[in-house]
Amino acid sequence: MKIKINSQKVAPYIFVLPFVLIFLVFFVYSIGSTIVMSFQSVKIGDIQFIGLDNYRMLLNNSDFPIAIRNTLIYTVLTLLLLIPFPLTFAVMLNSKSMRASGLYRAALFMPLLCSVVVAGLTFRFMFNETNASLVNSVIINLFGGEKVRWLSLQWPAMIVMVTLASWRWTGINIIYFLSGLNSIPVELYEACEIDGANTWQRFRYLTIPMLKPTIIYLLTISIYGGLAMFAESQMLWAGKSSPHNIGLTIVGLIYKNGISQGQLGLASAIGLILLVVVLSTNLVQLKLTGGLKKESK
Amino acid sequence: MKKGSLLSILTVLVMLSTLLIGCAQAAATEAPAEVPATEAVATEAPATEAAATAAEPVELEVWSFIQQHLDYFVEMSAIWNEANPDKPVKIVPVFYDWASLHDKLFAAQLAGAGVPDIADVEMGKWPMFMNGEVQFLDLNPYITEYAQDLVTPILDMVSKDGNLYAAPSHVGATVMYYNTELLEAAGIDYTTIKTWDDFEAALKTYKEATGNYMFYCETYGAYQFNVLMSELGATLIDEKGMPTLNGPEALKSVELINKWVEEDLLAFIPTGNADTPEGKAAVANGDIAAVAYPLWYMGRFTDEMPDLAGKIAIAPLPVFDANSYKSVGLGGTGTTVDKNSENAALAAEFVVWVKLSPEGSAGLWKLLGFDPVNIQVANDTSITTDPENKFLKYFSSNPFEVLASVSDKMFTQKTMQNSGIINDYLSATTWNRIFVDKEDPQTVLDETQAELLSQSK
Repeated sequence: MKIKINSQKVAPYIFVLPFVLIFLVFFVYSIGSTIVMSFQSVKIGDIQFIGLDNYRMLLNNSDFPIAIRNTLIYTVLTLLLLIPFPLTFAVMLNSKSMRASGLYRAALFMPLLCSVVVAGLTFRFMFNETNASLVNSVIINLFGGEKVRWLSLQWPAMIVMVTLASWRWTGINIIYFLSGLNSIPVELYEACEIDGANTWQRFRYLTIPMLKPTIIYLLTISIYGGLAMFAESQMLWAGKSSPHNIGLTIVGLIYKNGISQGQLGLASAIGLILLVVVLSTNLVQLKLTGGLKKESK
Repeated sequence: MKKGSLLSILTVLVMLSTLLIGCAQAAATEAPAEVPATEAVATEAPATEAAATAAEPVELEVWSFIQQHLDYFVEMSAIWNEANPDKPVKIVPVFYDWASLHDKLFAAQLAGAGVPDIADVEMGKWPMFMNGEVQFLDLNPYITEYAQDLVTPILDMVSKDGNLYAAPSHVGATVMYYNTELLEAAGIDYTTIKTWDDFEAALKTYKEATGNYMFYCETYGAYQFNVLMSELGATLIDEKGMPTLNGPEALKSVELINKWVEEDLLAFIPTGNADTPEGKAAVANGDIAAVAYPLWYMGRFTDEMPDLAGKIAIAPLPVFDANSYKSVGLGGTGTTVDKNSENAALAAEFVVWVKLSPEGSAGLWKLLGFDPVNIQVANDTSITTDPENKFLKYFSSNPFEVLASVSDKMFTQKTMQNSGIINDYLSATTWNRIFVDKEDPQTVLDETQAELLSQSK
């Protein structure tokens, strides 16, 4: 008897195999060991199960609520900026009356090519607390105000972090929106025009609904990106603690406890809590926006 | 199943997996990872090969986060090999940046694989290696030859339970650096500043004469606090390593600085610390005219502030009164030996010789400007008055004289498992609440103590 291999049926499995293997080895295993470690005290040559002690320590840890507060504020602010503005810019860039749109596309995309380390350092010096720093000198010379202690106070520091994120991520979000816009058939716009819809109505009742999948996707990755922010604040405060922990994020707290202080068990517990927060936020968001619904047809 | 629903399931799966990837990235950094040898900048040491006549040289892998330290080990290994033809070594230097070195060393120790024979550990990171079962070799049996010449308080810093786990690079005695040009312009003679009262008078004179600030309030870091606590003979941690931050000495220390803050006599410099790029810029620009740092800060002046050559004087710290301790060794780097290394004994012999012997200590001073742990060096006038030495040329006073004047009353601040948490909390929270937000010092210190006790182990 001959064994027939139906290549049509086998091929898809072969194609997804690399992903599945990487996923199992590097992600499922890591998450599994994180779960185990979150119940352990991990010291060199001395690993013990300590039950829920790590979680108990976390509840008493004054840094933890600060990290959650900072991360949530940061995420909400980036969502408020990084969805509407790139959408507007993308529509403008896509418009036929826009001149030199190629130049603008390149200019807006450029920041993403800059490493976060370089960007963070540059912002750190731009927002330095002296009168001579770029931003302060502009404020003092143009508006005659006082110098701002950007990296020492809660809201100024938040503005710096959100500005950095907006500067870096606007370009890529524009690209997503542009590709979404290009996939909307021109005939639909023509039909709208014939029906007498004005520019706003076309945007509101045609462009936005047709971009819904793009918006859902961007919302998902932006929520994750916001909740997992780390490198920006690490660079702005040169890897040190910020005053009053104004720049401390949840991942920053993981780094601080796990890497800087060698408390891997506690860090694992924080990591798991972050996982739960991210997953549930994204699931709620996908449910509300209909991202989990079956496509009806 | 319809095609449409399959597609949407697939989309959701992809979305979820990107989330998981992200989370796992965070998790992966926690998991013990094997040390990637490919990242190491390993350069062979040709100098050691010439001496390999009598015996085959033993390869010793050395990790450091300071290139000059590695160069120093390689340079000294040639001298070692000439003196010890029966046990030559071949140094394999590996450079990592500060953060990666400690991360990798910690991960390697945790995994029990990939640990180098010799590694530099910075004092700020020292506590995490004292947790659990210490993986460093006890160097006590190897220092007997030099023991009587070594500055013991510094050895205590890197000891635990009577075991010496590292060879320190320097005493790191804390001193005051004065910008004499600025002080003279304000009519201040730094040599008359003996006590903190004198210092306060100078702060006022300077402010009146120039409108600027002479000194700064350290809101990040704890050098100033450590200095004052040490002079009062108080430690930041008790014998078990638990924080002791709300005693009368802590209050007295904080209130001294706080008084100056309230009288507007102290500058608030960017980053709140004079050892960051922004802080060093403030020193270089003359925004402040004095900093209190250990002697290793000399290198910051010579390497990064060449314009100030000849204008900086090193002086003993002001004191509270005649009973005060005069200085304290702070910060620095200890060189450790892995106790599981195949060549642990040889590595330990080499490390002790290269850092603590008279030759080693002298080499560290000449090449790196480290105040010698071996006091033989400080007694050698050909070294202490060497007109060609770049540090002696730069500063207007002789660091060895300052060192000699304080060495009879040096205090030790121990670095133990909770020191990292304590420094971090003081920097992030305590100083900002007291000096910036003007909260009541005793209340803040009490709350700091309570919070740190709950975080300590």
